Amino acid sequence: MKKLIFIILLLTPWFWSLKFPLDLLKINLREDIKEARLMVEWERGKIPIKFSNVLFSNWPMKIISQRLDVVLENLDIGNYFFSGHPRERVGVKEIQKFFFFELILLIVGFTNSNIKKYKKFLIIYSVISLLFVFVFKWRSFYQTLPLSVPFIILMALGLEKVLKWPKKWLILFGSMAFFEILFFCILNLKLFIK
Amino acid sequence: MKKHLNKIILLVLIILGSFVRLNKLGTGGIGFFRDEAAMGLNTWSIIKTGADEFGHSFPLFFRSFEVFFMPAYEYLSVPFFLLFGPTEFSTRVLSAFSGILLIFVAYLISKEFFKSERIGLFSAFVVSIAPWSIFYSRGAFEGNLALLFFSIGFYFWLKFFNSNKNKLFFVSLLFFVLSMYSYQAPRFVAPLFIAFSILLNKNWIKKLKLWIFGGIFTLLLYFPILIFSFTPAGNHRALGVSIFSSNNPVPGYNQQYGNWQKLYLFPKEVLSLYSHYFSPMNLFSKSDYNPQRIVPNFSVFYLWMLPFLLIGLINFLKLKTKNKKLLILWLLISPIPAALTRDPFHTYRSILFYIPLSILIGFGISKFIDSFKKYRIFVLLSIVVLSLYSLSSFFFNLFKVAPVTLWREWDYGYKEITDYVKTQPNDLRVVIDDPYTESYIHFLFYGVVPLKEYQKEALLIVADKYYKSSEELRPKKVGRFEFRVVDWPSERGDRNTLFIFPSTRLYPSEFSTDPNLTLVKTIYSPGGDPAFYLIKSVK
Repeated sequence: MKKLIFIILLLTPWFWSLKFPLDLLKINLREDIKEARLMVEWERGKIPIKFSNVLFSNWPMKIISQRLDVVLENLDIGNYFFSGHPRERVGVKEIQKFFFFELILLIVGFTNSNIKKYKKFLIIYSVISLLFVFVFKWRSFYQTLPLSVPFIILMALGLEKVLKWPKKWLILFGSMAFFEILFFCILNLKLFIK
Repeated sequence: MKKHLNKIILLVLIILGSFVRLNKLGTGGIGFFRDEAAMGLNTWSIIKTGADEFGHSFPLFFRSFEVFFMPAYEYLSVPFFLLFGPTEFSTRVLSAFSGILLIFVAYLISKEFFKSERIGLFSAFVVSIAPWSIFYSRGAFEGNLALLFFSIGFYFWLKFFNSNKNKLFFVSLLFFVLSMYSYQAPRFVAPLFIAFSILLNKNWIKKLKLWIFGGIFTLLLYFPILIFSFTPAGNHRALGVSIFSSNNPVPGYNQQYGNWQKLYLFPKEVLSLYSHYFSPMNLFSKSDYNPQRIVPNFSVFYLWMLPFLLIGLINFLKLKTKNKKLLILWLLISPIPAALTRDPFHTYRSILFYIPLSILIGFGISKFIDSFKKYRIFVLLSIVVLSLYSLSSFFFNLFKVAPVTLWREWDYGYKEITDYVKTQPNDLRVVIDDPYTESYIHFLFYGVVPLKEYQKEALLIVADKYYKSSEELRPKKVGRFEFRVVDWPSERGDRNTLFIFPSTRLYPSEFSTDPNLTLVKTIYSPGGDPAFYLIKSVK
């Protein structure tokens, strides 16, 4: 059944029209090296030239650390549930990717024993996608969409567990989700109409 | 032999930790921040006059630039000032000692918690080299002292829960209260931690009598501070920086829809701020939003510690230890005060958060090494090499890069200015161009402005409002010294005056062509840029 759904999704031209981020696999190493060299030159221009300057302040290290910074940005749950606020990232238009109540689903998802079934997939997929993030510096909304897969699986696992909660807790959670969606719709009503 | 080996390793870690904290402590080359100068001056003032800068005898909160400092740091620094006099070193050394002792306390906590000396040593190792701990030990940060007291309190709390000896309960409370006398954050965290760790205990009601006695004991110890809780001295700091008192609207707020939105937006904002303290980006890469609290290219922890934190956390959650919840509580409660303020990722307000994280990293390193049975020595050696490289790189950035990039944030240059002013005749009028009028503290600290003269003026202005008002109440003129904004076009003709300008507030072209003015000294920043211009007018 799951496979069939997947095949139909693939065969639907409607989804084909969705914007595909053209810069997904774009890499401009020459530009990166130039930028890193400038940064290092600035730093070294201010301090006496010694062996330690080269050892602790060099352009290959700058390039690696810049890429690692982007990986860490992608691991920041604030960027998914709170649209990056309060620390907005320079050069990135922050858009909230999930509802806040889904964060609860995500956390609960980790405690679902069925996670074992998906453990290997989740780890391998996450590691590969983070590797892509490292190489191609994925930062923007569209570029980070592939990372939503493990989130959605974990949230689904969370929802599975939440649905088994006692009725009063379920009603509380359901109301919270309902009001958040309602609030979101009201605030964005004008935007939808336009 | 093994027992001795562990002791030797601990000693080596403490010696290493002492070296990185005490080396060039007073002369780091970056500057001496105004808050440090304020704390140092007030300690010296207490020794010399029995009163603070406002002439207020033995205060319970130290008032400086409309901020009220908790009193422990100032009073406990007295022996160091008696030994070394009023220097930058004397001001910072208490924080450095707190950082050194924290290495040992982290060892004790881990050893008690995991019942393993080895994990204790790894935790001590992490604390001894962690950027956050070195940084906060190298400046006069009262929060570091508070962290030490809180950690000792936690250690005895843990011992009490493990052994049920009532004596330990009271010792623990004493240290928690001491942490509340040292810094603002524990005033919120300590009571919350105590209350929750008691209530989470299934049989808490059985010891009701003990808790009541403990409550009375704590109230008695904390009473002097408690009575001021409803005055600006007791709550100005908390209210001033709180997210609820901010004039800025909550993100997402739409004026069209009214105040009901805040019911949803405020909790979301607090959670957003709270989640930032658990963000790997902030903990391992970006660090504090305020450049005064960072070392360039470094964060709270080294990046290589991230996998060990994850390993430590996963294994910790699997652990079946009796008092697991105590460490979880510390971890979850400690960022709350910082998350309730409007600033994003404030490493100082959340300083209590970093010991449990360091312990988890230490636990993770231990678990990681365990998983490589045959190559244990090789893995251990790799970690040592990595640590030494990171530490060297950290010091390269602290001593070489930070002074040239962050000197302004650290108030660099005032020592050089005061050294020059001391060489000048006693009838020379000195006007310091300072929009915030806070530079007076450096002139007092370095002994240029006479302390008693300043106290006399300040006491007249502050009168009985010392604890009651958070307004700016301080003299802008003391004898021949003035601290204010200079109206250059109208004042440049004043005779026998030394004008001191930050280089950002006056262009050289505004004084270089005037024959009545002489640029007597330029104070240069460590990077070689002009920091201050000292301009003298004719007699």
